[in-house]
Amino acid sequence: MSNELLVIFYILATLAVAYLWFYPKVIGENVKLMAWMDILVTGIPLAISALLFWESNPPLRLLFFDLNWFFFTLIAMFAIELPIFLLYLRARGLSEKYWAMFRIAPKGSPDAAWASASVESVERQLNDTRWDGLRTRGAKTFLLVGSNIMILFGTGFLVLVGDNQWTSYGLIHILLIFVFWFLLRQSVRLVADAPEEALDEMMLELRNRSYVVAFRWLTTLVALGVTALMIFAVISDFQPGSDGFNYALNPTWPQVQAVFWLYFAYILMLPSMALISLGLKRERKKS
Amino acid sequence: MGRKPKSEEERVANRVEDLRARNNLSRQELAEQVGVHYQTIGYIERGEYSPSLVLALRIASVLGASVEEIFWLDEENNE
Repeated sequence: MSNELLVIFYILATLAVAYLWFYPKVIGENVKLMAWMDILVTGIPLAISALLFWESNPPLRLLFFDLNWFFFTLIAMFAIELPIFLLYLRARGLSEKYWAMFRIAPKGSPDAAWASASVESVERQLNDTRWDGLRTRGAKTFLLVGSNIMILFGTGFLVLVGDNQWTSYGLIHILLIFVFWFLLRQSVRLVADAPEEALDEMMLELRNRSYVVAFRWLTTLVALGVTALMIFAVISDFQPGSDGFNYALNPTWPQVQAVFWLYFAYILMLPSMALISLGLKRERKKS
Repeated sequence: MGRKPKSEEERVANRVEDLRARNNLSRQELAEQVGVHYQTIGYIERGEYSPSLVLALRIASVLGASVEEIFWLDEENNE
C-alpha cells in the first residue's frame, strides 16, 4: 500500500470511530465539547503519521503537490472530515447550535462579518468601572501616542535589524501590538468593534464617524507605503544605461514581518484610535 | 448650497433633566424606558447630543410632554 493510501485509511478509521460511536454516544448534543474533541480527533491521524514518517519523512503526493507528512495528513483529514462533519450536524439538527458558538454578532446583523466584540461583552463593558483608569484624558492621550510610537518603533527595529540574533525581539513587538490593542478596546468600551445591536443611536453615530476617520488614516498609510515602494523602485533603477525594469526587492524575513505587522496593527487598532481621537477632540472643544 | 458643518449647526436645547426630575426618574430608569445607555441621557441633557426624532418622541412619551415642549433650537447660543 502506498503511504498516501495508508494515511487515508487511518483517517477514515479515526473518523468512523468518531462519528459512528464517540460523538453520537459519548458527546451527544454538547457542541462545545464536540468542538474541543474535534481537535483531539484531528490529532490522532497526525500522531500516527508522526510515528510512521517522522524519521523517514517521505514526500506524499496530494494531487499535483508533494507535501510532508504533517501537511498531507492535515489537509487530507480536513478534506475528508468536512463533508462528514457538515452532514452529521445537519442529520442531528445541531447546525444552528454549533455555528452560534462562533458567532460574535447576532444572526442577520449587518456587522456579522466584521464585529469582533459580542453584544454581551459590550454591554458588560458599558457598565464596567474596573478599567476607568484607561478612560481619563491623560490615559487616552498616552494610549494614542504610545500605541503609534510602539508600532513605528517596532517596525523600524524590524526593518533595520536584519537576520541576526536580535530578530527574536520582534516577538516582543508582536506581543505589544496585542497588549495595546486590548488596552485601546477597553478604553473605548469595545464600541469601535461592536455590532450595531449593542449600541444605541449616539454610540452608533460615534462608531460610524470613527470608521470614516480610521479609513482616511488607513488610506493615508497605504498611500505612503506604496509611494515609498514606488520611489524605492525608481531610485534603485536610476542608473545610466538602465532599461527601466531592472530592480530587485530582497527583503529579509524581519523586514517582511515589519511590513505585515505595521499594517496588521493599524487594521486592528485604527477604529479604537479614531474613537479616542474624536473623544479627545470633543473634550478639548468643551474645555 | 451645501449644509453647514456639524460644529456650526444649531444646538438643540432641552428640559429633559427638569422633566425627568419631576417624574422622579433616574437617568438609568429613563434610559431603560427609551432604550438607550444612561450616558446618552447625560449627553442629551447637557445638549452635547441631539437625539433622533424617534428617540425624542420616545423621551417625550415617557416624560408626558410634547416634543416641542422638551426640545427646541437653541438659536441664542449659536449667534
